[in-house]
Amino acid sequence: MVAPPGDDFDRQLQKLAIEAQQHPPQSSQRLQTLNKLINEIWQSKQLGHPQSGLWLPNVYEDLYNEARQRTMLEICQNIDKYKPQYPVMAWVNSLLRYQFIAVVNDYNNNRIISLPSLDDLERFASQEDPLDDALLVRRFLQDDPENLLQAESIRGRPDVTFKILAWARFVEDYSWDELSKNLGISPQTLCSFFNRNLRNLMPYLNRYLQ
Amino acid sequence: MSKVTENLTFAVPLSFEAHSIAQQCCKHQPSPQKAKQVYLNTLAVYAVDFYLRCQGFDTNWCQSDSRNPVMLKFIDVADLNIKYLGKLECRPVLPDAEVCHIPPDVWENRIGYVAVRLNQSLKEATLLGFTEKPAKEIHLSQLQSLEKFTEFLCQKRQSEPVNLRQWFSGIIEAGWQAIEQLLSIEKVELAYMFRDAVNITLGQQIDLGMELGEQSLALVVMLPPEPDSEVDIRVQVHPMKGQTFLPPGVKLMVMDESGETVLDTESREADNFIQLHFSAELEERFTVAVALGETSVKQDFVI
Repeated sequence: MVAPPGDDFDRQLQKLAIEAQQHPPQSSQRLQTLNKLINEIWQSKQLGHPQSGLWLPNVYEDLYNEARQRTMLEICQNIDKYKPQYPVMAWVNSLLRYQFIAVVNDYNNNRIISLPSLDDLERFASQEDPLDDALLVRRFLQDDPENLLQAESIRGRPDVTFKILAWARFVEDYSWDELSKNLGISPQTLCSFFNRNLRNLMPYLNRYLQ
Repeated sequence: MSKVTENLTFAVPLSFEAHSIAQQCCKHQPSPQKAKQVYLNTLAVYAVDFYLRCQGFDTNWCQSDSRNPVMLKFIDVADLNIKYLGKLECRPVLPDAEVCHIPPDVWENRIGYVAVRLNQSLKEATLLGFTEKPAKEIHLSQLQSLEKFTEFLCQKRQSEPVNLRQWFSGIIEAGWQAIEQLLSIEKVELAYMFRDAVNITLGQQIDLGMELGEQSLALVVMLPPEPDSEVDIRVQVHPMKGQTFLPPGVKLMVMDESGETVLDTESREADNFIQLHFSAELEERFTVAVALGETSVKQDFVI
């Protein structure tokens, strides 16, 4: 989108801000207007970049995003505090400046974590050493120490229990579709049975798997 | 590029908070593939949770299955509980994908499914739209728009009855306020003509959309100071601050639990406000509707 010239753009933002104020709180019209207003604000060439010279670019991007996000929440929650005699972007930029300082305070150096991209994610996740956890689940399913995993079965199919399904899914890595074909039971029925049992068995699972 | 024809979307920046929750949730998953899935699911739920909080909804992510470490090991889940409304499922959509996948694990107990596009750097999530009915995969062009999504949620929220009995103990739902904040001073005095000094009186702005142009209306509910086995209730419709008269043709109706209209009135030329007066037994449910032309707004109450 080509940003419209300054004055028109200001007026357009102001119109949206005032429109949002006029709709009742919690009405879908207010929600949609706020959504449009936020979208326009992020397109603005006048959006400030507080402290941009003080940080390495990659760290700055994340700090800025966190501050931008908190500012969005503040705009939505406090739209009624916007005073139409000032340009919307002046109000937004002052909120953003404060939020940036708050983010820097919250995440000063040692709490800054690295954010993996989609390409890094599998490598990133496998640093956790999942083998221990896999082994724990496998052993638990095998041993069933309190003998509760086979207490129920799908109606008319005493061979299909929580234990059988969990084993097939998590140790043998079958998908619900494959299991559905093999057992001749629809995926919905299998999942419905599985989820209900999972919920009922939660205290038991918590005792052994946490 | 024309923006008019484009669907509304909402982009959420993903930074330290989002990723630290995702990193927490993907710990102790039995395989790297599963950990990746949990990571992406968590970012999708985070984005929807943020959107809903921006829009004033009361979410309860911490009590959702998608934050339960044991649940995450066994099912592919990305749910988000919204107080009083139910569960939404928030499914991640990869950068180049054209469909949204919904696994059978989550086909039950959901009020809807939101598709959330993640970008390659995982620094931004975009809410694309939603569907009420699950399917193994849904083409993104088949999703209902975000506009429909907000309407859908607001309708759900409105369909929750306002609990008037709680007003006696000072528990007031969001959206209801002292009438001094809604009406001009003369109107407040008019409204109070019918009450004792200690009545409970609250109002809510109502939106009849295009029918009214710039003008807004307020629905006012008055209760006696104490509950009795029968409660005396007045409902009124006033023009909001800055306006003297109601437009003619505004209808106010009270319906019983079966939807049958039991009382109604309509504004004429130069009416300051309209009112209905009735009594209800404790536990009784009723609906108040305000209508003008083709548009009407309904609110359920329980006393």
